[in-house]
Amino acid sequence: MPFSASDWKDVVPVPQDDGVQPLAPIAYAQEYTEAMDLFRAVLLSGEKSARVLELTAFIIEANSSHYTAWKYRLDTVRALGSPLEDELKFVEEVAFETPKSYQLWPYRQAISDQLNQPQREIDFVGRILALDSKNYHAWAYRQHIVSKYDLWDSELEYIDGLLRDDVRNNSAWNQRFFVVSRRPAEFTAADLDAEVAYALSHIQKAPHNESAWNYLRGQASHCAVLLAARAHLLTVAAESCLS
Amino acid sequence: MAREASQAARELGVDIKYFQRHLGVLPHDYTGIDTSRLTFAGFCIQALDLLGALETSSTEAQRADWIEWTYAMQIHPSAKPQSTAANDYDGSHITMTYAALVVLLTLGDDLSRVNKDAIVNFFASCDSPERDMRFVFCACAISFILADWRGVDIPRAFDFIRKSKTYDHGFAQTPGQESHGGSTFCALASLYLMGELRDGATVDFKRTRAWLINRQDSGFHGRVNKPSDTCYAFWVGGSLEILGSHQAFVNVDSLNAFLAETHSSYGGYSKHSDDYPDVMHSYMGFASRALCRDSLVGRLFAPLNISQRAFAHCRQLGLGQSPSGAESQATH
Repeated sequence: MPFSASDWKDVVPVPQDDGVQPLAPIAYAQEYTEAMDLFRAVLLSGEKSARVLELTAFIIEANSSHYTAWKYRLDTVRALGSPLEDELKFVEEVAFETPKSYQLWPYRQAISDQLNQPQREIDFVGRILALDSKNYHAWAYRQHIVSKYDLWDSELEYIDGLLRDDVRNNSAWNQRFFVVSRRPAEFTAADLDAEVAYALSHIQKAPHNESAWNYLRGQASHCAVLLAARAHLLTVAAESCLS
Repeated sequence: MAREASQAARELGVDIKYFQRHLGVLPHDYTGIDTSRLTFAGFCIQALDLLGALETSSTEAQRADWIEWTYAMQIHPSAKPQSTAANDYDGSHITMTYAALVVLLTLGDDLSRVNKDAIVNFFASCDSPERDMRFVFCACAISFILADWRGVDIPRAFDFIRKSKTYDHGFAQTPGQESHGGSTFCALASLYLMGELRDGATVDFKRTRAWLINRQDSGFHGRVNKPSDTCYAFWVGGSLEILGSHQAFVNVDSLNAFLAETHSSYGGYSKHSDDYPDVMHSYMGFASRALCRDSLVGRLFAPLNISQRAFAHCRQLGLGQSPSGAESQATH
């Protein structure tokens, strides 16, 4: 998104002073230098305006880790009451460009927590996980949405799909553990049986898959009350492995 | 032998140049690191330190200027920025604060101009939803370096680490997430620095060690069933080092074979063998070699991820302390 320097004629730019002997100085593109010089002026004046949104968008697109620009943008959006929908679109554009950038996720959360549209957020994370089904930040955000809006049941279906594509997707296994151990319903002996059976059926498909074994061991120690089931479970596991 | 030694010197020569070059002017493609230049520069300075080349590759005057540049990033409590130094307009950032202290220690500064009260107050203001293991580690590392723990609520940090342990005995970035080599390092290092690392309920040494050892195929990966990546030779190797298990359990020959594949003939290491080298992975490659007691590389103090030389300097200043009375189980 270009910003137009002609909109900023009334502002005196504040150039960067990097000292005598800076470490790792960057030969910025001219436009980035101009944008940052104006942004420093904005930080001094405290201006919150539509052109500040354009300016921060430009800076974030050049450097999606620019935490000050993200924070100032959020303050500006709130001060102006500008449409949150636009912000979701903006974040999605950045997310597709740099899905591993950390800063976009807390920003997304700050906006979406106000909008309360869980399905929209689940769909968004789904699109990001379709690019990389192990994106750590995306999973963290997904856990936030699932817990906040009680989306536990549909989550298991989603995980099944991911494990059908890749039985070694440890992020998906972890998400299953997250759902099973955190959903409000009490964890019963029947649940333990179901989880053990689930792990074993996947171990049979790929006996050297560490993810499934870790999941099995995790479930075995999951619930102290059900420890008695453990001996039984290990026998079943051993038999299933030897057969 | 002599031939091998000269080959090794040639190899390091190209790497020394690699790190020197990245302290100089970078092309605009590096704009994405504009807000983390301190970390970036820190990797270069720390690598030159590990390669024994910090003092031969820069002048004393240069190093004094770098110290000034780093101090210029410090934000003192006041309403408005005092200068127009590069990042002075940005808010304080806990990762950059850690990086700044590491740079200053590595350059031999005495930290006398660090505003401890400002850092303690900044920690108190950090109580946001953005809590994760990296920030816990940075808070512990900063407090340990400054031997000032006023800013850390130790029971709360301990509780956060406990809750972030996963069912497979690795640690996650936040409670509920997947276990991860980087967050496992941050968790173990934080416990060590707090003087709270003991074999028991929070860290079952045997099970966590098993999780860590399983992360090595030839190199190390950071999560179960992910491919090897140079930086995890440090994150996972450093975790094993903190548990006193690196020498006994890391297959160094196999790791070296992996590192030979990710090393570039132009200097530096890449993440995977088919990538271009970058500064972070380059530093981590050498840090992992330090943990392997590679004779060409200096020693590392794993819990802070700084050279033993810089750590000794820190202790000489009377700094580098766990909270009084606390002591981790001796692991190494």
